[in-house]
Amino acid sequence: MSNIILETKDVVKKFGGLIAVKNVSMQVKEGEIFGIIGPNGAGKTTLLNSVSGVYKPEEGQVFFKGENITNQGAHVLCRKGIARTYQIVNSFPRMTVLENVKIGSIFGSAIPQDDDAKAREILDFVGFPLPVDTIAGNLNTVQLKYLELARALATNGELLLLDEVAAGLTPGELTEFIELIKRIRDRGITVITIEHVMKFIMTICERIIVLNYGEKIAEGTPEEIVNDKLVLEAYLGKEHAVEAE
Amino acid sequence: MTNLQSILNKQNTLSDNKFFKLLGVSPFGVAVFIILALSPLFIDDQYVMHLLISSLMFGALAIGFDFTVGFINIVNFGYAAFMGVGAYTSALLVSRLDLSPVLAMLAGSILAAILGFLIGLLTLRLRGMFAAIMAWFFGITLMSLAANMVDLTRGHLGLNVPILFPGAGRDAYFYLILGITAVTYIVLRKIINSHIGLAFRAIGQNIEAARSSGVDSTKYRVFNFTVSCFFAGLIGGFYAFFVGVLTPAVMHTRVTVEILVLCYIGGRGSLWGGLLAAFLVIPIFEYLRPLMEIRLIIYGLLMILVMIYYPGGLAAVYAQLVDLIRDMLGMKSKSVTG
Repeated sequence: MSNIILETKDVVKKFGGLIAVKNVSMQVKEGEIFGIIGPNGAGKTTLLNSVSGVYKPEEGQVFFKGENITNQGAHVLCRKGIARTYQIVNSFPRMTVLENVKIGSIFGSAIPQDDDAKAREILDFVGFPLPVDTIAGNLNTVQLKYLELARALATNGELLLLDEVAAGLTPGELTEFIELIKRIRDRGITVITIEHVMKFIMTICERIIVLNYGEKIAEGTPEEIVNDKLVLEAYLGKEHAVEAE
Repeated sequence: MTNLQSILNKQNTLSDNKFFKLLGVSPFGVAVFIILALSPLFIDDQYVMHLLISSLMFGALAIGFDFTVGFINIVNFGYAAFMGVGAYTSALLVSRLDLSPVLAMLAGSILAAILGFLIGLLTLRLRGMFAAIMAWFFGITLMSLAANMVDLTRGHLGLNVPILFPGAGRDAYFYLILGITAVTYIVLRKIINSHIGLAFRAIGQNIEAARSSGVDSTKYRVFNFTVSCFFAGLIGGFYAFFVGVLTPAVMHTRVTVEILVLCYIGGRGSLWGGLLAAFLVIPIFEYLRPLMEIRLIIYGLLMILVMIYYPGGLAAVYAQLVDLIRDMLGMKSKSVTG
């Protein structure tokens, strides 16, 4: 039933002598919510950046819908259908909320759309709580997360990369976000998410890979992952992992 | 009060008029233009005319400078050098090849635009500060070239430029620079109001987010430099004929800094702010000639004061003033009345 929308083959990304991502291969199926977890510094964001064109990997290939997209620039990939958000929320602080979203639909979409109604519709869809002419620089972090998500959706992407969207949310906000990500998936958009918040990742992800020191150490469903010995070791250290068993 | 209210109402209705929309100017802007255009009829003093011309010239330069710094957020420290390229090119084409001044000025702007395209490419991968430094070195190199190619430019001895309007007074120069300023403003405003301007602002405010929202930062940055330098070259051509003697000093960083200060005082990202600032600052400094020696220090202080207390410059003050008047009259936002 499922086509592979994104595939990485032995991707390697180095910073000087440090190997941040080491031979990571993964296959993401169309329409699924795919999680990437791992301790701090495990190379999760670097992997995402290597996929979305922010970094150019030293070795390996990235395929999007069967096309080799390794080394293509971020703006090109965005138009091809890869949208993303950042760990530290990114916005255009001296523009209105509406303009922020329209940047995505005008420049990031394969077919440029200059349509206020469309932008408003997306803001409604994500449940953005404030008037659309609010200046983005006046928003708080949670509002900025919604805005960034709206901008990413405005690009009409088929694949959405989320980098720690759930960080810093209250339990109530977290539940709302989980519902939102599910609704995005139901629109036919594949989601890859990096996350530390376990409730988030365990609730919505269908499959997960675990990175540690740049290497993939496990892959599977949430149930398989929580019972994986290597994963427990990576998170808790060897001795505690034994206790936990 | 009601009178004022009706004027404001009228301004709002007029703003939506096709003519003003097409040109990207406000009715207020057109009124100022008309007053300026009529001013030679009332001003006999050649010195005052000279001041008006200088103000317009520096104001136009500030508009072109703001097109880069106010939107893609890169300070083009080599700006004056591009203006100098336009000045030398048009002066030489007229004096050596007897080309018509109009064609010569156009050729000067095109050469400046080509060099702007190059500096755009050179600074492509660099972030704000480094791009500024690169542009600066590029400008210094151009100035050294002008100083050392003595056979062509006569270096520091100065190049005599043929007179543009023999027998005519300052008025002819005034109308020429008024026209150039209007064209510069309207063209740049049209670009800024289009999608291209939106891309510029996105790049200037957050280049990473711009790229991952699909904005081709390379393309827009190079385009921005090319256009900005084209107009620097055009105004440079005017400068050559207006001043009559060209020395490499016109390409000095000092000139760039003076334009930069006008931009900051006027309000970055407004386009017109620098023009307004030029009309205030340049005459004041002309009248305070004894202060010329420490002019740059005063410029620096002014800029720091503006950056601390009025980061939005005169443009922001104007916007606040308009809001205040609207509030006082109990008027709602523009969209309601327009």
